[in-house]
Amino acid sequence: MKAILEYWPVLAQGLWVTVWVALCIIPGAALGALILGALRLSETTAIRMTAMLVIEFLRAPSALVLLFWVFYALPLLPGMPRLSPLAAAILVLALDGAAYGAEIVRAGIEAVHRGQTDACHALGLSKLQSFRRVVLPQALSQIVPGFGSLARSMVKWTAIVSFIGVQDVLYVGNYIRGQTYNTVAVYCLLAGLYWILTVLCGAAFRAIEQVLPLNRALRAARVSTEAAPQMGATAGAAQ
Amino acid sequence: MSSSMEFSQAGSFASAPASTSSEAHASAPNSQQAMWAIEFEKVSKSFGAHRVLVDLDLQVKPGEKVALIGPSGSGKTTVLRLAMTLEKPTGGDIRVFGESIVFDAAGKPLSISQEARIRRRCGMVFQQFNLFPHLTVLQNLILAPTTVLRQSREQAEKSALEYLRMVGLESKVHAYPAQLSGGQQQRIAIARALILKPEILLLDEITSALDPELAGEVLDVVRNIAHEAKVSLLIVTHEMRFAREISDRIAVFDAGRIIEQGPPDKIFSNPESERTRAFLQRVLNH
Repeated sequence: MKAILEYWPVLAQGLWVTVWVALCIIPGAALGALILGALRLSETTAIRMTAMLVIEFLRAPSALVLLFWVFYALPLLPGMPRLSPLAAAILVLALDGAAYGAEIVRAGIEAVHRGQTDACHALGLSKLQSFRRVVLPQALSQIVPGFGSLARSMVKWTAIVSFIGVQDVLYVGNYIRGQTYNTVAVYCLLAGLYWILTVLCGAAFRAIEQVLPLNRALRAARVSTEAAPQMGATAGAAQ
Repeated sequence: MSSSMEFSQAGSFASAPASTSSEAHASAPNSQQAMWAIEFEKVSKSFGAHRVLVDLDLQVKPGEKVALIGPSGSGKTTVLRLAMTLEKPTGGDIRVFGESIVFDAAGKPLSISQEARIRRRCGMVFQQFNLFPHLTVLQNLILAPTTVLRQSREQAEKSALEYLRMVGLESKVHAYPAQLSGGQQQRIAIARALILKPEILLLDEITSALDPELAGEVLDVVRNIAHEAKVSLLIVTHEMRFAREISDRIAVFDAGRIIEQGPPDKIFSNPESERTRAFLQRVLNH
């Protein structure tokens, strides 16, 4: 173990690359998921079908195959750019996360009561205003916990970037194992590092859950119900 | 809530300068058509093979209060949803102050912007209140004025406080809907609809989700609107006493048609249709 710790600067650098990739792909996937998930519910059949096809296309192959395809095969097609290993990895993992996240977003939006959009319509809000101001803020309370679980998985997905030469924590770990021949200790250390990263990611998403508007409103209602139990019978009657 | 609720602001609602919707719609197409606040002409509505409304003809004058009564599933709520453009009719035409909310002048379906402009003249209150649970009472009230009417936040808040006073809930301005009783939520929903100064207010079974005790406070608010305001009311209700008291006319629905309509006293004391008599007997003896 002591021998391994001698490599801490390079290990820290690898860990930083893993964190950096995760910090790029999780928000990227969130943005993509919001767009794809909303398009998936479009009233226009062509848009809805296209979004569905994109989601299915991205989810079909293994992420590693998709990564190899973008990194090795894409530049062979005419007019296509050769991406750096890091750019290819971020692109593929963010898109893959967006495809899985889109279904979480779709389910979250569909869970918002129809009466909410009826009320928006009756108040004269446009579809976009209704989505942005009413549906999405409520849907986020459904979306964020599910997406948080996906994000924890995405932290672990980052390991595949080492296959195309990105020097993440797994790549560095393999290098140290080659130098020290201490296989058990290296992989225990890697498992521990991924565990810490996923726990931190989960904690971050739980913190986000706390500040979501609907959660805040319901928490306020719980507090006031506890403070005034006689209100309990009537509070929150019909929402 | 007592019936002596302070309604000084209701007066301001009644006489409110129609700065938003009325001016925008001052140019109604022709005076003969414009005599109706809302007019249904041979309107049909089907959901798949199920015909909910069949050749419905119904006209409501500006300021008139019309109650729609009848058995569940007879199409009453669909009438309100059609008026609010929440549904499209399968056949026929609906006109709001003479302007079709279905077709444009060339007989084509209305564009989104045309429809949005006309539907601003209507407001609706729902059975399940449909307040936005993630927003406070004040935010619920100012959302439409600030986004749709583009009022300044200060102006919208000032107006929101007036309407909250009108429904007796100014103390709940920063509460969330889940912190309120059902009756309070429905009163907020009424204020939220009124703040846009609709000329036609559609009330869809607004007390059905409430205990009788809480229904009373909501009906008090509607009574005061009906007495004070010049707004046309289309009310779907199962509260027969309320319908009789508040409306100028009652339309009795059965199986997607109006089987009888007339002044409340006539409908309740001397109905012409056997089906009306049977319906009233069922609900009044319940």
